[in-house]
Amino acid sequence: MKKLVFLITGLTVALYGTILFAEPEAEQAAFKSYFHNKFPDVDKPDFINGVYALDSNAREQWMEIEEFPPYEIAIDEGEALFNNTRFTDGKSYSHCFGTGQHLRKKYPYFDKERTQVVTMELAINDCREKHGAKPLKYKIGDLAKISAYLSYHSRGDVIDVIVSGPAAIQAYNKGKEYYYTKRGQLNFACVDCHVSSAGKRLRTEILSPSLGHVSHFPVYRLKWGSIGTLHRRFSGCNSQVRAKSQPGQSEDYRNLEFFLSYMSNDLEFNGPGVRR
Amino acid sequence: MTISIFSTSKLSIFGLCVFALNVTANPTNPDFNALWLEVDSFRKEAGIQGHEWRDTAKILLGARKEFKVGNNEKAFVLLSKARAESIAALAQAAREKKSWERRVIK
Amino acid sequence: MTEIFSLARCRVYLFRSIMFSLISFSSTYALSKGTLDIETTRVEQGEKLAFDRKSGNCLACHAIGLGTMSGNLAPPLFAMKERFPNPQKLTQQISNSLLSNEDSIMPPFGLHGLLNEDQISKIVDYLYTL
Repeated sequence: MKKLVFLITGLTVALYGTILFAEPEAEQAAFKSYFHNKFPDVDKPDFINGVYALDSNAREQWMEIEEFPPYEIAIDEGEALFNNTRFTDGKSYSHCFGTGQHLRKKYPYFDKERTQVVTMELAINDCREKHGAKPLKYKIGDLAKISAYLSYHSRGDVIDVIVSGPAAIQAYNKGKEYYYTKRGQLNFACVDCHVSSAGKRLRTEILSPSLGHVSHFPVYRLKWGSIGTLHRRFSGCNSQVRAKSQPGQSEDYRNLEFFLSYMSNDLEFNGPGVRR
Repeated sequence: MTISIFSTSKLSIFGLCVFALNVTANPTNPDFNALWLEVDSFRKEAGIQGHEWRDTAKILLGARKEFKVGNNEKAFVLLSKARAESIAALAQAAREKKSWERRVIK
Repeated sequence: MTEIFSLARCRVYLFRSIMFSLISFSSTYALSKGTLDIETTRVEQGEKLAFDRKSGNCLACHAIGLGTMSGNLAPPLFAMKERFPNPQKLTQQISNSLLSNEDSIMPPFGLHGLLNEDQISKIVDYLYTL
């Protein structure tokens, strides 16, 4: 009898585990195939280029801008900040991040000890605080520049977010809920504009597909006239649907980044990018 | 009239709300601050649920400013606007608790 | 005396009748012109509300009439009388699209205080001219 109880308990746990783990994987497959089916002419790896993968006119204009990319200055400034910053304890960023090469692909990840999602931008400020420096602003300025430099030296690396264990799955699920929830006075969810409506025009702007969304950040937006992080864009989206935006690296935004990155697994990082 | 329906002790939130919505009622209503706090608590509750709208806090601040300089009528108009926004945001939160999952791409 | 009297009466009568017809004509004219004015402006106002980015901003998603720089997120708006024979249905779609489909991506303009009843009814008037 004891054995039977043991067996049943064991089976239940195993089954529950499979269901828990299977869900994100199945959802990722469904998410990807939705876009692959919707845009059969787009090469699968090309989704990292957002609207420029979908529209040839927009792509041409973008390629022209890419000849003298406006984010180059940010990469240089980011490099200087990364290499020349000395914290009060005499340490530098390399103490936390080594040479800074191929760093982007480590993020975002679920930190089991802290039971929260850690993004690259959060890790940069963690490093600063660990060495007695004040945290930088999360959406604009120096942090975005350092992020641009680090992203540039991770180009071509593959997005490989791991969602494993109940706590990580919970963070993933929270990110998923955020993505699919309608918000703001205009009553829009992320999914409303960037899935079924991807490739369509809102006034004159083409809506970008969510698949590959995270790959090219930080971006220099012509509209901003400066470089900004993914979370700056999140808060811009919130504000456009007239929802209250959140501070950079809020738990919601990190969970959303975790979910979105996982959806884009196997695509290449190509940040920093330039967008209209 | 509102007061005659409710006894003073029972002059509850509802009674105050009727005043808030009826902007021409009594612009010098001394209960502005109580009403303001109530609407602000609705806004905060919507915020806790992740559904606060972009401009509600701004509208509420505007209402207080107008009241301070004596534009009572305008203050109440803004207050009722903020109230409508907060209540709609709370309704949205309630709707979305059930609705979001239906949209997940499977 | 009678003559004079009758003449005077006649004058008064004529004067009265002319005045009456003048007044009635001008008032009918004013009335018809006024209604026409109100109707034109309602449709015009409706169009303005539909196009303006800060009110309806319908052009963000729909192609409408002579509106420029319109989006194609949602169906173009034409032949509205055929598509929405019931004006109440059209009003409801603008005011609270969630009633027909809770997942609709169209903002519930009335429910969320983006447009008031009068503004929506003007937009509906305009849409029926398409």
